[in-house]
Amino acid sequence: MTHHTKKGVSNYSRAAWVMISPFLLFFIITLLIPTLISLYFSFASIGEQIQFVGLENYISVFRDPLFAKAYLNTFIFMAGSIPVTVFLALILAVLLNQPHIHGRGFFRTVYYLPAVTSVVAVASVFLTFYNPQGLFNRIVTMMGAKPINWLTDPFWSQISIIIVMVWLNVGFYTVMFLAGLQNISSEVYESAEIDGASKIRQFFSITIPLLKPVVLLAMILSTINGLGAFEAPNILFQNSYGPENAAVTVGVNLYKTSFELVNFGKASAIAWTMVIVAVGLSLGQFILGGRKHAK
Amino acid sequence: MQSKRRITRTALYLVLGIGLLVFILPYVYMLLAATQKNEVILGPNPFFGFGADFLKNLAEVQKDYNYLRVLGNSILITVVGTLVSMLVTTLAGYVLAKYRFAGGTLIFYAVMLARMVPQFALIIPTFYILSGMGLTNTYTGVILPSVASTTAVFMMRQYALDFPSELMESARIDGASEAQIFWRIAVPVLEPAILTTGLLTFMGYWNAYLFPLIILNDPEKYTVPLIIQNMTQNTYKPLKYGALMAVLATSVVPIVILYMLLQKKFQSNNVGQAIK
Repeated sequence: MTHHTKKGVSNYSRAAWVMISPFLLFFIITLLIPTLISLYFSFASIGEQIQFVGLENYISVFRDPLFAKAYLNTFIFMAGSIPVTVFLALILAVLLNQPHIHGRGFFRTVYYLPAVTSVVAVASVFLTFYNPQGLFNRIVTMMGAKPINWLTDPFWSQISIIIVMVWLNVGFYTVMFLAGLQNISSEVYESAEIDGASKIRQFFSITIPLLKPVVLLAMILSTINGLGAFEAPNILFQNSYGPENAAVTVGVNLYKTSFELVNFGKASAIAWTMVIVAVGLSLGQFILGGRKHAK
Repeated sequence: MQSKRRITRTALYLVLGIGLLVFILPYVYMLLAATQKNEVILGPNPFFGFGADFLKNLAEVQKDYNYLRVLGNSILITVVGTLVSMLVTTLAGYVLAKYRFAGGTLIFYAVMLARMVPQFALIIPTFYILSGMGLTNTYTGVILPSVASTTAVFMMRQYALDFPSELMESARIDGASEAQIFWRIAVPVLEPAILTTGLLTFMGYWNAYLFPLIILNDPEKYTVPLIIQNMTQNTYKPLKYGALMAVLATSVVPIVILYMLLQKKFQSNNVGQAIK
């Protein structure tokens, strides 16, 4: 019997390796090796020859005011968009989670559409809306205000990017929150009801605390995405840094350093600051989330 | 009590409806503006209906960018990419969920770790490797970097965890090989999961911007997002809004509608039925 099992397992193990090998091949060539090369490049100068230069790229990156501006902008975009996104998505998710909602699936699918739509396409529609004579200024003037320089004023440029980010993310958050809400057993609410807790009380003392890990996860995912934000600023500001560098994100900074300044070493150093922040945030989420479960 | 309830429900649907409008507006705008002249799109009067210039706008894109060919490029890359990626990632997810073998856990952790590395961090080495293989400016070069989608592997593994091992055991007793078990039992049972994941991979290829942007430089090989970029960043010609909207109306709207229809179809999972 032992012999049989052992033989069986080793046979299956060979089958497992055969079946997973195509993935492994692609994984090694397109993810693992590039990750290692990228790490090496961040310590190298890349021209005709590749030469190890130690921390030179990192020093040059940290001395570059544009790099600091890129992180500052990314922080502003996150700080501006995440609270609004979470707030709106919570409202929509809680409403969709009410019993006997007609067309719940339909609403959810439509809200999710931005998450599967080309960001380039979305940004080009907003580019039209932000045109001095576009839809948004038409609405603004209709309400009796002065037209806004959406894409030429540094302050409004950042608002413009935040609006697009909120529009792109609310649906994704809503679907995540809704899944989180559906995991909360209705018994919890029923017993709260019996104890005489009002709906609002229930929302703040049951829904919010139980949804916290999901909210945290959504925030970390969008921060990581936000670091690499490139498509929306690239289209809205037509491959520029925006007025007074207002639209530089870490992604834009990285792209321009690679393919316009053709400084692959420095660009790789920028990339690795992104990796470190992303991994740090993910691990932080993992640890915080893990603690929640341990309770 | 009854009327208070009705007011609450009306308010509830009102808020959900406003949300719906906000999300649908850009898509409706693409459709309407695609049929209008540039002067109307940015003119002083709002438009609420269809104009007569759709074909003219489309002809403009065809003339400037050979739009039919661009659509063909996008379709080719998306379909081939999705098929290859789904074959590779379905196998990997299934193996990681259902087989215990030396190195399996290590592979799973490597996949999880790789998920944290932003795609952006890899553009330079990927570009380097592809040009070393002579694959820059080729369709293969655009398809390759996204085949080993860690998200797809992760999703397929999650779905495959529910796949009953009893089915595999009884098939083994009947003398089926591991490959037969995969193709004849796992694939049909996991079909909804494969289609759901495949749909996301499909959208990923269709919407891809960064890799095509750095890998393709021959306009004959451009994909749809690249001509959108070209139209909005062309410093020589003023932006033709009608033509841009015609591209969006014919490349974004149909795919989004397809997504809605298929997504609805795939929601159920066959795992429950298979075990009966």
